[in-house]
Amino acid sequence: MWKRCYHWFNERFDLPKIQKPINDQLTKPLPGHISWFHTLGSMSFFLFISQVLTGILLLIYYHPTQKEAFESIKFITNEVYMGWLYRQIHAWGSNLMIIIVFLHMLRTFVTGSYKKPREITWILGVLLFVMTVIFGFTGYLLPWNQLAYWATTVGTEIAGAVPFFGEFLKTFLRGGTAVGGETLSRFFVIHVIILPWALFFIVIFHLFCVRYLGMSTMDKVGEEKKVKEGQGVPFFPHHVLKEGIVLFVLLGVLITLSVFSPFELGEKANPLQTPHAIKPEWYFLSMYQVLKHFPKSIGIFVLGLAPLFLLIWPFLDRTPQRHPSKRPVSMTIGILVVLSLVIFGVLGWVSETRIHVFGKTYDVDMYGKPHLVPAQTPPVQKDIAP
Amino acid sequence: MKEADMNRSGEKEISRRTFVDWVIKGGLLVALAGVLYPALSYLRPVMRRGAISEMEEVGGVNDIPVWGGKKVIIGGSAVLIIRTPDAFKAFSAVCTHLGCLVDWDGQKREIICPCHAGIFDLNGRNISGPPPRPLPVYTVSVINNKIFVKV
Ligand code: FES
Repeated sequence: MWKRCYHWFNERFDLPKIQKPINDQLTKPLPGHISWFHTLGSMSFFLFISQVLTGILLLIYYHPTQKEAFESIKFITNEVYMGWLYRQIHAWGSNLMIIIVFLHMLRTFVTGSYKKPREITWILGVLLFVMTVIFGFTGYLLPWNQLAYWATTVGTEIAGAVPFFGEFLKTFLRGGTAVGGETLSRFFVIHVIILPWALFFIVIFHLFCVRYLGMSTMDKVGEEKKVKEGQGVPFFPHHVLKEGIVLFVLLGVLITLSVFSPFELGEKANPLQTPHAIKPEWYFLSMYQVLKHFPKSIGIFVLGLAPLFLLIWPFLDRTPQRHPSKRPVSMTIGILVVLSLVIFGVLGWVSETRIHVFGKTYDVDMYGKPHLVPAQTPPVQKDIAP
Repeated sequence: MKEADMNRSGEKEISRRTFVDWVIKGGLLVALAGVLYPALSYLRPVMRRGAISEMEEVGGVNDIPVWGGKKVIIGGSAVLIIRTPDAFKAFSAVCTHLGCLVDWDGQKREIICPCHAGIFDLNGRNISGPPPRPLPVYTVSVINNKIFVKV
């Protein structure tokens, strides 16, 4: 049977000729230092596939209108068989994807893999990261609940602070003066049509670059030794096996989180009532926190620089070394950036909440500064002077 | 430049082929722009603005107690109406900081924003917190015990 199929196709396409490059790719040896950290890319890819599949399933029952969006998600969660599971996997998948894609970028940064000749691979990667975040932002609105509605209001308002055409941009994104049905449609189209396809093609291009240029070694730029046949780690089965194991674990984590820590749907969006202390999703928290310290337009400028720096990073860091221990400057910059992301993120997380530490209660203000609440004050007197 | 493109005095001359080439390229470009422009303008949101001077009725005088407030949506934007003992006031309810909707606190007689603790006074002026500008003020008229707001 198999033979006859092969024969049938072989009469039409020159199969051995097609097979050869595929085999070459499969057996291609990878540099010896390839480790578990080099599976982050395939993990991102796996999550993307998972998002596409669960996304398609959700689309079957989802209605992207102001009137029905919330109800249709509720329907998916409560009525449809396994609907809750797919919604949760989709929601958790998006969060994990942002973490994994970020870690992937971090790994590339640490191993200096973005250096010549792989600048374009890095740039495409940064684009993919940014798109993943936009995926998160646009998808967040679709359930049309209170948090989503107001997070989007604040998010698009920030776009409005862009100098000169901010106001236009804001209206353009919202499709009107306020977040409403038009915004939902726009975000929906971006989320389910534009981004998936754009991402798909960029991923292909990105993977092509990775394969064509070969995995980066730890050698100096320009002195990279080509891994010879029989040396290093064979892509198949060694590395693929590693990837398989990682994907298996990832799938387990994804489903465990979905089952044991589901996302709440909350209340339906109410354009007349802002919930208290509205915050963006966790991956925007650090940016959001930074924004609080600046007047809006300057804050935008500062935030806009970050992705720009990421994009042109290979052209800023021109030292030939790849090994992290030989690149003190870029490693310091990297560590500082990650640290500040974490610190501002945590500050943003606790800001405007009431926290309990060691039996004491603190009201945290919007800048993340805690103010001690005296032991037996009547509840929530919000603006007690420090 | 090929020899054929030169005339006798040695100046450059565009050959027929180059000329046609340019015409085709230019034509394509124009066609592309012609397609792109409507496509882009298609994306521009349709903003239905009512006649500017139009007054919108937002309810009867007795809907709002003294020192009470009410939020309504007029022409797609949220408006906060406050009743003081001697007048009605209307402000845009959209906080000038990041666009959250402000609330009226009747006890403290302040307009407060739930997002970053921005506070505005009875005249819509930002008095504390991050909001950079006062709230836009709208005109309110009371006619036959009905409240009208002009946005
Ligand atoms: S949005 Fe009102 S204080 Fe920030």
